[in-house]
Amino acid sequence: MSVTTTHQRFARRLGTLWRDTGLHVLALPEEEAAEVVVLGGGSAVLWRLLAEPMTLADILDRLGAAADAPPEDVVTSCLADMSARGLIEDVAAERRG
Amino acid sequence: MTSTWAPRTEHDRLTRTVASHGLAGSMLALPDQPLEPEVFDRLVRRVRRQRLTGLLWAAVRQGAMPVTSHQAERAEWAHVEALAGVLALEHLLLDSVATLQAAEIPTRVLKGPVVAHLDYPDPTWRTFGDIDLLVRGQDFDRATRLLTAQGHHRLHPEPRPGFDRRFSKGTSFRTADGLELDLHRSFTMGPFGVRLALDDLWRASHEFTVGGHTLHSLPAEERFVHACYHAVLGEISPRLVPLRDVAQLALTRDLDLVRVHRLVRASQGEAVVARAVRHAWHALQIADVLALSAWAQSYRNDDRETADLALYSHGSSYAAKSVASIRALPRWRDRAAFVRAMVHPTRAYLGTRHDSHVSRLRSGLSQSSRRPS
Repeated sequence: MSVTTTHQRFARRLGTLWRDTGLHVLALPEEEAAEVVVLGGGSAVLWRLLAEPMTLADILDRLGAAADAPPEDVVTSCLADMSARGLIEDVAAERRG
Repeated sequence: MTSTWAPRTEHDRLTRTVASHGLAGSMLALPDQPLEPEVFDRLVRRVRRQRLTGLLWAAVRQGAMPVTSHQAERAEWAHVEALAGVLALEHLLLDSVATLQAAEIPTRVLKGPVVAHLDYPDPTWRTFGDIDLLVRGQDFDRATRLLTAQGHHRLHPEPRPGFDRRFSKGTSFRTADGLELDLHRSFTMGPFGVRLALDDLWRASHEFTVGGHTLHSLPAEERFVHACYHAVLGEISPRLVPLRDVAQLALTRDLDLVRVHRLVRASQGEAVVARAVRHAWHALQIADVLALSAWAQSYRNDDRETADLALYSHGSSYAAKSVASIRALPRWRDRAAFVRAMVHPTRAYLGTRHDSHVSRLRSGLSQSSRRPS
């Protein structure tokens, strides 16, 4: 999934098992033979934000309040990586057909 | 017997202090400055062995235990490793429950995953090393076949067909990935397992969610009783985690004590619960006096309870527990079936680690039958 449009709404993929140590998030997608992924830094922050579905604009808005907010290209890269690993999905895609 | 529960070393006391972290009422206090490197290393090793990395990391994270930055990193990483195993086990849990559900076999999830999600402030605090599922005796053989068909390797064959369904605590499976799944019919083997009021465990359930899937556990009172059985009868040297579970449930759940006592009386397990509560209070140095802890403190075992509890302590054996199980069975027909399975097991059962158990049991039964009545 590429992160390109403002219509995309990202959410944690249902069925993903996870734990949060406060520094790192460990996540295991539901698929057979999936492996545990350890998210740190910006990816862990994004995972926590995505407790509810959000657009890229929502995410940047929420992150914008933090002094050390990552730039947009880092956020989109993290989202694409988490999506490729099966941890998050675009929940608006189905509605768009 | 509580004297044997006094911390033997400073490391032992420190480990217990970690085990009591976040438990209101414990008098154990974490150190007020970072430990020396070798002391901290040893603590991390013990905490890993005892599956207490979640409580150590919670203490560090919340600032209750001062550490150096290097120690903080070690504590978190030890916990990250433990949590990776926990997620793999939860994956196995969901897979196994789905398999059994598809065959209309009801399950109750026991121990680690349940108390982690329902009874601790954060599931990250409670790690576990295997999965435990309770099924009814009537479903046991079918459940075993289904899990075997999933590719899981059954570790212990039953002595004779139908034995596990009628008499055993359960059996264990190992997956291709080396994970362990315990399928239970009862909480424990031996006389306390035989007397357990199994039907009472199935009257109600409590739903909880893992990865968006709804699972069923025992209600809080039954979970508490199971935690007590596991703490006292599960291993010869009880681990701190089951004792913490006992204290966690007793101190943070609004347990219906009438229900607890009814369940325990029906299972003739008062001595087990009283001992578990006493041990938990002593090991974790809990000062709070609850109706439950006051009852446990004042409870006096009768001779039979003392003898039965001794079967689960040092120096006892599988054979001794089996002989006691036979005596605890109420019906002669069941006793005969149990003895037949032990004395004439299948060829598959012989040649396993149980071979020596069978020899000892034959010997035990023979000695028992020579005793004057």
